[in-house]
Amino acid sequence: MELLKSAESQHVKYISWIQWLKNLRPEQRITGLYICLVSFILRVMSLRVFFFFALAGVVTAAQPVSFRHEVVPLLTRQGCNSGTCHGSPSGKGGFVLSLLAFDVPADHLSMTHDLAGRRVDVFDPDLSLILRKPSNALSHRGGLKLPKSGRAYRIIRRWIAEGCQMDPADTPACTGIELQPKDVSVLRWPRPTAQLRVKASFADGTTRDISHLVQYTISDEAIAEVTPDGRLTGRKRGQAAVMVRYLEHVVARAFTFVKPVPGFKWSNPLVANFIDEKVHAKLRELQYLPSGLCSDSEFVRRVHLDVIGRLPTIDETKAFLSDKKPDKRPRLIDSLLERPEFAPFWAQKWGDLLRLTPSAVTAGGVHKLNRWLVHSLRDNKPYDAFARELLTASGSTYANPPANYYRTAADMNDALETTTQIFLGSRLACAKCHNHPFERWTQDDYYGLGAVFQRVQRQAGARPGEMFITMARSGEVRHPRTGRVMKPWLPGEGVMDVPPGDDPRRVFAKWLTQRDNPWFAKVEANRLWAAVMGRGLVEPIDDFRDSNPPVNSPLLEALGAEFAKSGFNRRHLLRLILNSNTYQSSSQPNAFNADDELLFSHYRPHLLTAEQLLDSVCQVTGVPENFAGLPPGTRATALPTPQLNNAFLKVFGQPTRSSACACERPQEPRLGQALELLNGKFLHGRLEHPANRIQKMAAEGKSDDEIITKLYLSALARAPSTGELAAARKHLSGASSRKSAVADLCWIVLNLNEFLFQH
Amino acid sequence: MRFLMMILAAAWAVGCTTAKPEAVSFRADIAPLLRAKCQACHGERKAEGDFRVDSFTELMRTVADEPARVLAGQPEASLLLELLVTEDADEQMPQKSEPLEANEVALFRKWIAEGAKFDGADPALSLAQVIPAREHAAAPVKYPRALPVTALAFSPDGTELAVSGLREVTVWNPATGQLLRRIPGMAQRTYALAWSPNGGTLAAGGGIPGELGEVRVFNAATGNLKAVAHKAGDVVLDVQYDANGTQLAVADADNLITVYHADDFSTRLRIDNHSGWVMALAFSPDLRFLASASRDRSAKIFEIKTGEPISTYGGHGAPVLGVAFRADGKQMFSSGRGGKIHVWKSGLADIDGKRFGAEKVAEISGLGREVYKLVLHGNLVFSVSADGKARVHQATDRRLVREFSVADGSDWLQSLAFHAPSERLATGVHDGTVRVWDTKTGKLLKSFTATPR
Repeated sequence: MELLKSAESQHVKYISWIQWLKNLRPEQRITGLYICLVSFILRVMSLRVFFFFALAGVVTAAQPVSFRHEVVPLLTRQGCNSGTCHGSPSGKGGFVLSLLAFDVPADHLSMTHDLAGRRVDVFDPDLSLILRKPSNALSHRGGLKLPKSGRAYRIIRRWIAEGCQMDPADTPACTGIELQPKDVSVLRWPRPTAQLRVKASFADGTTRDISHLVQYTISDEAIAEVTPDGRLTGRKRGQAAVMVRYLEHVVARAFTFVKPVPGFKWSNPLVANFIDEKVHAKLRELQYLPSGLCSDSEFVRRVHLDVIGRLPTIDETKAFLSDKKPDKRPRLIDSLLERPEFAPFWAQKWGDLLRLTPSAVTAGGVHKLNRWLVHSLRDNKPYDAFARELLTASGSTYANPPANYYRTAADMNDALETTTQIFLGSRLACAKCHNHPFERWTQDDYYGLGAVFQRVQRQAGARPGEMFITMARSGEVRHPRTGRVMKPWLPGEGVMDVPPGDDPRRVFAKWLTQRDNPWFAKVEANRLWAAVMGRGLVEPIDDFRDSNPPVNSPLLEALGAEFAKSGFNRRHLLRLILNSNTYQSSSQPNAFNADDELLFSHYRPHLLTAEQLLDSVCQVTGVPENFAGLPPGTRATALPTPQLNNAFLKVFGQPTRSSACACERPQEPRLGQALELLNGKFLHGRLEHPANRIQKMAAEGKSDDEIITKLYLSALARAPSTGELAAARKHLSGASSRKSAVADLCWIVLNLNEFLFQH
Repeated sequence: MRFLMMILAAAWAVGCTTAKPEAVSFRADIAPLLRAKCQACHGERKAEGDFRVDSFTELMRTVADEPARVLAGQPEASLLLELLVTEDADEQMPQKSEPLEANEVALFRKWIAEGAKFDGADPALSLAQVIPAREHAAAPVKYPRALPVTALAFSPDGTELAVSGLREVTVWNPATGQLLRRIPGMAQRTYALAWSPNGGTLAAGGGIPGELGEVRVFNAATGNLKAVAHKAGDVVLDVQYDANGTQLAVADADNLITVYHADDFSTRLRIDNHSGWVMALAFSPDLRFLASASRDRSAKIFEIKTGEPISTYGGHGAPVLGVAFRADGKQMFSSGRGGKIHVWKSGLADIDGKRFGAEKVAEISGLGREVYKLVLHGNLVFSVSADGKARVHQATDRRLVREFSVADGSDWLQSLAFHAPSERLATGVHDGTVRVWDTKTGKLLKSFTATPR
């Protein structure tokens, strides 16, 4: 109607038709042109005004503004319903909106009925507080969020003027959104920019351009920026994902920004297996050159620590370094994978995930489940069987240790959050109270998954500390907001019908461990990759989401496929990774990869874990640590449960196992660690210890060179250089007390980055 | 002809130059600018740089060792003017908005030059209170759609029902639903109506949300404006005459309670105690006390003589929207968000003890999402709720006597009025309907849409 009125006022001055056309909204222009044409023709007819009305009225029957499909998405786009503003639980200034619009009817009441409807004025829309405040006509703590000249303001204003209607009950719902242009994911300099558009599909088969209604966010602002209007522009080379949100629909796409590097020429480095092929493909695309291979010293130390969690002995080091055969590296890998230390070391990683502590499952439970984990890994139990046994475990926690899975996950919420975090790599906890802010998980999905675990019963057993896990025959999950009974739900599959008497956990586990399950294989492959490479392809390793894409998607797909194809054989996948040149690359960067931290162009040095550090210090000095309640000689990397009173382990990040989150082991260095290494009791206790084997060598009168060489070989898997030898000799000879001079040497070597870091 | 025109033109020109220009008024010229452009960051709640402009007194405050903010007669030496005209982007005011127009700056300059005088009654009043009341646009002849009914009042003889309108108050026949007359000149919205006990005046409280609040008192029969009794920075939410009609109490969204003498509208008492909007007021039966319900989640009782708070009830834990005294003054009823009516001891019996933290007696729950203003008459407590139902409970034992609802469910009820002699209850609905009930029988007497069409 407004189109009509504005057209009418222009009808005498045809020159200003052009201006009138320009002022129309884009979707009205075709219609406007039509009116102009018809009007021009009718100028010569006496009934032109009547015809004008008739035709224009028929043609411009405008659709009323949709609250759900236009106004509410704008509240998200303009930032009104974000968690820091009106989307917070108590809102702001008394105005509460649902977080990112997960409750549209409540938002409607908030805007129209709350406080006697003071926020909207259908008679004088410009007096509505909902327009005046965010346009800075009245003071608004949130600032200018809705400029008066913008399209969003006009749409909301029109909705108010049309009476603040809620959509009719039969309004076709939005079934999905699509990011366009469809086939663009690589942007190159000199013009690394793209104009994104979004199309929505509705249940009645129609589609609409909703580019002006969606919220665009980018995963890494350093790489690229995306404007609120969807203009994507690269800032520097790299990869970033654009996430688009429209109501509960979220889509994301990873974009690669390629910038030619002057002087870059692909050097065709050697490829050991498909892993290297995929890594090199990505490096070549972004114009990085991989570094060469690491030295044998670096390799023997690195692979021992990664596979069995400890330094190579001096004899092992010497044997490897002097081995002349060309396949010594693959042979070493094979032998390490069969070593008895392998299983306890990797069982400890699963102990972290399963939160194995005496307080959760009793001391007896800890040992039983740890033993089960060790046996599973020793026997190389396929990962799908492993997962199924855990997820469907029932019975006594003593007789059937995997049943402890449901002991540490003490209720439905815990069980579903733990399961999704460990096996689906997704942090679902946010969706407990509202739709997930970064992902497509909705509250419905959360409680649908909860229905899988709702009937797990936990009862005390006959023996002290024993618990029985059983499945009840009844027990429903109700959606906390709508009260609806939720049926078990599988991501990607939808609601599943579980016949009464069946265990929904079995149905879930079967779905999870299928070969083609999109998450199962990739999550574990990513976890194995991160364990030896120092960083996952998806990082954090339990935060898989569209807005956090893998740094090398083809590689992750290939690893997942290989893992599934091999029957979920973990040793097989580890063997492949360890044999790749990517794993064996040097940590020395070159001119063409110095600034790469994500794409594995060179090995990324990272601090040893707390347990590895403790064991390494013990091994170098030859003084083992005693752990309470465990046989003497038990190493920290084989501990079934954390020793909570060990200050050294704690400061270097031993997790308390209170959550299944990968973030429990902090990645960032801390001041306490530096202090522990400088003056800590643990380290210093070993330097002058009578059993310290370096001290014993000195006491036995061995030569300076022997002592120094043994120290270096033990700690760093290499002989000292001439310069290092000279400096050390000088220190030893110039010292008044040989004992304290040797202690000094030990202390220095144990504080070297080369010792503390995997490199 | 042309010669005549020239003479006229010359005379007009001379007239222009010799005419004495009007002095700049603080109330009409300066205060509105300060309020619109400066008060958000330099007001009572937030005072950037410790510089407040929310009243004349605050504006003229001198701070030791600081340049004078406003130096009467010397605009160039006044810090205020310097900040308005400076070219330095970090110092220019308003900082978060466009600079003032040239003519607006000129007003400030002229006002200071003319002596920076205050042309109002009380320099300590807030800007909103001194800015002269404006004339509101006329109400539309026909409303394009229905307006939520946010205020209702029966005339003392029960023959007329005043209803909130769009920039007016409409008066209807409650029996027939016929529009009797329209009282123009009101602000955009009316949130409270109070008919004086003698039927002569009608007080209407309301305003423009977020912008201003007013109480306009009209001659009930003729609709002539008697006075703009009260002004505020945001809307007025309740207006109550006491039982004698000698006092008029006003609650507004500036968190203030004001009691006026009903005859000359002089201020008797101003209470600045609540930290949130005051949603409802009630006089005690003996007229010594005034109870208030506030969005700050408390209900309070004040002694009118001194203005001192006597009692505070915090049991709601949610905005309190209505309050009423029991007939003997010993118990209080208050309603609010969460669908509850709380009953608590007024503590007035121990006046010397001056008890704070009033003691809860009981609560009535399950009344829908929000319960609005309460009306108490005799032993009956009337309430309306967002669940579309009106209810009456007994004040003594809190038993539900009757529920008033329509079969198909109703939009939120927002207002109510009770006429004791005829025992009729009028309820106002968000969709513009007014329903008149016979409270004795529970029968719906009349239902009509209270908008002129």
